[in-house]
Amino acid sequence: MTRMIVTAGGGGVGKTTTSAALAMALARQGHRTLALTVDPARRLADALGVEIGAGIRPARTARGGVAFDLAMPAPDAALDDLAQALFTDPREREAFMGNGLYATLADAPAGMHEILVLLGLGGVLEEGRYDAVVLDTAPSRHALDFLAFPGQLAELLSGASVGFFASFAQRAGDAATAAVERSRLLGWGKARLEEAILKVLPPEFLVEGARFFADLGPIREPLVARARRADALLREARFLLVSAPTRAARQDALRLAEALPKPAAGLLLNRADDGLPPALAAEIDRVPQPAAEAAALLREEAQGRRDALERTERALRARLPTVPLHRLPTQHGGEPLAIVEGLAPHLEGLARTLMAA
Amino acid sequence: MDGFSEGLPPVVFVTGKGGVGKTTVAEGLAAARAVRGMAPTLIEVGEPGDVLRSRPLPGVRRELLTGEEALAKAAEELFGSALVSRLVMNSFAVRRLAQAAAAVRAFAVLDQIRIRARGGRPMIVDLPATGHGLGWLRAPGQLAELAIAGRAHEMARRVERELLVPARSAVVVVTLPEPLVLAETRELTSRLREEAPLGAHAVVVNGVPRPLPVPPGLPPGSAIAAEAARRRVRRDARRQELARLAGELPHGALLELPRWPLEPSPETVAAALAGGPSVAEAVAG
Repeated sequence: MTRMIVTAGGGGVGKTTTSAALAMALARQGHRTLALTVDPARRLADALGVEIGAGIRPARTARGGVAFDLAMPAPDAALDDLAQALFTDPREREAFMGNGLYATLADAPAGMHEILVLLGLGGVLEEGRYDAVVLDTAPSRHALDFLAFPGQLAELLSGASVGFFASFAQRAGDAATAAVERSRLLGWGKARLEEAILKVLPPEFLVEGARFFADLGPIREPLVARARRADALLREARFLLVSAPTRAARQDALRLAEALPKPAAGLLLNRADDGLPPALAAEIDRVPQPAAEAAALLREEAQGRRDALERTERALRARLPTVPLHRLPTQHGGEPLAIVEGLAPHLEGLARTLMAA
Repeated sequence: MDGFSEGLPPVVFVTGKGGVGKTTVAEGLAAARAVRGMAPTLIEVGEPGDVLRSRPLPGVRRELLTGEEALAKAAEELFGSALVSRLVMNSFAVRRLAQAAAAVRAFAVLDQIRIRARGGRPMIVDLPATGHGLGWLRAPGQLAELAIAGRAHEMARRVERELLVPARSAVVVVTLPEPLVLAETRELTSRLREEAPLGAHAVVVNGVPRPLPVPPGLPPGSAIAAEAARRRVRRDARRQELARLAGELPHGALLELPRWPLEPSPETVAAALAGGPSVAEAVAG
């Protein structure tokens, strides 16, 4: 069974980079690993030699040898990709994708993208190609809402709601005769529910909405099957929180911790030091006379970062006393690939724990 | 440049990616208005169970608006009665759909803001990080187009007409001083201008590193001199990107906030927003 590892954290904490570093650590321990990024980062994609929206690609690593796979699906193409994968009949696919509701959904509202990505990759996950999948979620306090989505989607598509909309579709008939449909629909709208809806929404909208569900017909079963598989994988997933020494990052991590379906397997704290590269730290301690002012300023900045770190650690420890805390040092240099390579060795112990039963 | 916040319409939407300091800027804007005795409301958009992330501020009312609550209120008005609205919204099919459609919730929240802002009440809205604000501002228009007529259509158009016009509201985009992040911001401001009812009124670049004062004569290989040089190079790259960004904001302002060693108070941010020279001037000069 593939081990799913879900990373969650607020914006700007280095979540995507940390996830890639974890994937690298897992790969170095011999696990076939896929890193899946829901919030694509162009710079990191470039550095690792993959293209956003181009499917699964091997990530480039400086040391060569053991590598991991990486996919950064483009948010605005996720629904198209899914429709391409599931519809076998091009005419049915076009009818589905031509619907006005489809265009609205394809804008990938928050939370939808994750699940579309999971569903789209359903095939890959099923083949057992990977021992580990690191899923990097959107940088939001509500990134974990998607955990419930596969189950909800399966319910929506297999349950009574489809019957409700499909019956609308059946009675609505052809959209081209919408004007005629109006009177027909109104005449048929005996139930209070239908009446109430028709009072506020034009019948054309309902015809379109109903047709959308009708057009889903051919792919409903495979879609539901994929949703259930994704649901099963997520139930067995391990969760990691990623944070950084800022108030917002701390608040986001604590909010996400509450939303987790089970305790987090680890709490990763990025930039967990004073942020001074060693050479600079050594020099400001010697305080060369001509640069005393600059040294004082650098010391003040470093002290500020130490204070922020202490405050963050205290708050996180107080609220999440049982979650193992992993401090990750600031990576200097700024090149994304170097940062991933620099972080990976710090995540080896965690990688081992995650893959242990 | 004194009084950047004085030139703003009653409602200010603060948007930006996660981690850029959106809440810090929203607090600063609220504090600036409170100082002028405007008694602003600071609205945070969230989900049930969220706590307010802004700090308590004298003279500022803080409120958490959730999509769920807003949706229930919008449905009540839409269907004309709480009973019918509950009947429809609690029906399995409609509820599932409404939950899935982020645009519907965004619209409902904007409608609640429209109601609260009637009579020109000053308001700062801290938008969620996802979607960069673009999806939010486009939501009413999208819904109006989907529901081509009827009461839902009228409600959506009313939000556009009464809230999303320059006299009533403005968008302030918060960003970071990294060239790549600024390039993304430029993409956002250009999309806002083309696709949303409101363009960006101002861009606030948050966390600009202070220049290091380094006199000549440091030994070669000095780490401090190297750090100072690195900051200069990054400042020059940033200035270039800011000059391009200024081109996207013909009537708007570009402001820089420094990187404070410790988290600034809302009053400090307010003072910096009011008194700091605009980057547009710095870029030009």
